[in-house]
Amino acid sequence: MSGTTENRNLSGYRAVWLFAMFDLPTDTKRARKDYTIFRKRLMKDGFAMVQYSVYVRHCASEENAQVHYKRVKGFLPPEGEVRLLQITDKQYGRMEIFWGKKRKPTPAAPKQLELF
Amino acid sequence: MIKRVVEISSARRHLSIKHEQLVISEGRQECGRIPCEDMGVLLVDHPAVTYTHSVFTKLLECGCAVVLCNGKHHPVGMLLPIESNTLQCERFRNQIDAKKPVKKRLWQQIVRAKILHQAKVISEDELAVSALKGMAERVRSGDPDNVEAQASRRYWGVFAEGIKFKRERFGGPPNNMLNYGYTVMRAAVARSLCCAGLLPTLGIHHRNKYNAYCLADDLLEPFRGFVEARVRVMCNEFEEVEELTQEMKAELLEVLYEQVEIGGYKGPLMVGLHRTAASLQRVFAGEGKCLELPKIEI
Repeated sequence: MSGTTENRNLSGYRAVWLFAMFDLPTDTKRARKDYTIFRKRLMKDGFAMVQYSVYVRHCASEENAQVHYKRVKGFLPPEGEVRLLQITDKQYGRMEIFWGKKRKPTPAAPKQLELF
Repeated sequence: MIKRVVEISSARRHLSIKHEQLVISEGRQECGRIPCEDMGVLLVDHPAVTYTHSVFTKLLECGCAVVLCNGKHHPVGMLLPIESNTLQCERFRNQIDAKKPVKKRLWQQIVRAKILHQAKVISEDELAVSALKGMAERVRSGDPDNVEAQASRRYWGVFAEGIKFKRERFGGPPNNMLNYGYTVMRAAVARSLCCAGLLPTLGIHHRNKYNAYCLADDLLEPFRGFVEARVRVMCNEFEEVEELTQEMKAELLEVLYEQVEIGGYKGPLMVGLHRTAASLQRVFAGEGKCLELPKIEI
């Protein structure tokens, strides 16, 4: 898999990335329960964790991103803050990741076509 | 919506489902995760792959086609969703009740498109192109003169100039590339038929009682050209090999994402297939007369 920026976008659509970032209360048992439910729903919708409370999903097209926007809005937790942010595949590819002072390679976008 | 095509062929993988995502792992090591609803075709071509039951059930629920290959890398079966369209029952009925003249006219359109597409693939051979164009004109309703076969003979004769080539199912290279490409295309066609609420089993022309995907094979005809054009380019790129490499497979799979124009729609072929399937459904329902097939400019 090559880096995202040089990925030929096979599908002819512009791929986008959808970030879900959240801060949810965990003070009561009920709040923790809601937190878990929300987190699991995110994963079931195809989101993957990039950092604590930061989840990202690759969407093959702008229209598809809208679908997932709507879905997340449909299962928002009763309390706490959730932010949704959409960026293009190109912008995502320019993200720099550091581990200590060492730069880590940016993860590649999933291709429309994958061979395992 | 454009979906992903995933092939598992390089090693002993284990497939499972977690949080409605397909998890691909080797031993304890996870190699990848793909949300089930983003999946279009899963192609498995390795004898030691293991599964959990929910891989199949979940993928089918999400409308994904699963193709299984045997040790010879030949597809032996396909899994398609049963309940993929809400109006299915009515549409099955329309398909079963479709009158003979309707089917014959459909077959005429399909054969015409197929022959024109063949002409496009070998567009540099002007003599053959004009011959094929003439043949396409001559296709009558239901193709009683079997112009399809005549065109194919002419076409395969010029298809691979310079290499000794005979199109046979189990023949030497590049037959293996063609087979692989057709398999993937067929799965995508069958999937789009299911989504349109049609039975991939009941063909309009193919009637082999041992073939479970007659309609998919019928509708595949005009799309074969995409695979063939790609294989032609690849013949010059790659050495002839008995076993397809991952690189070759990837290139063949990319055919599904080629830009096409179908009935006013422009975009990836995989999405365009849904338009074709939907137009077929309308013909069966008596709401239309024409199939929407890829636009071919020679």
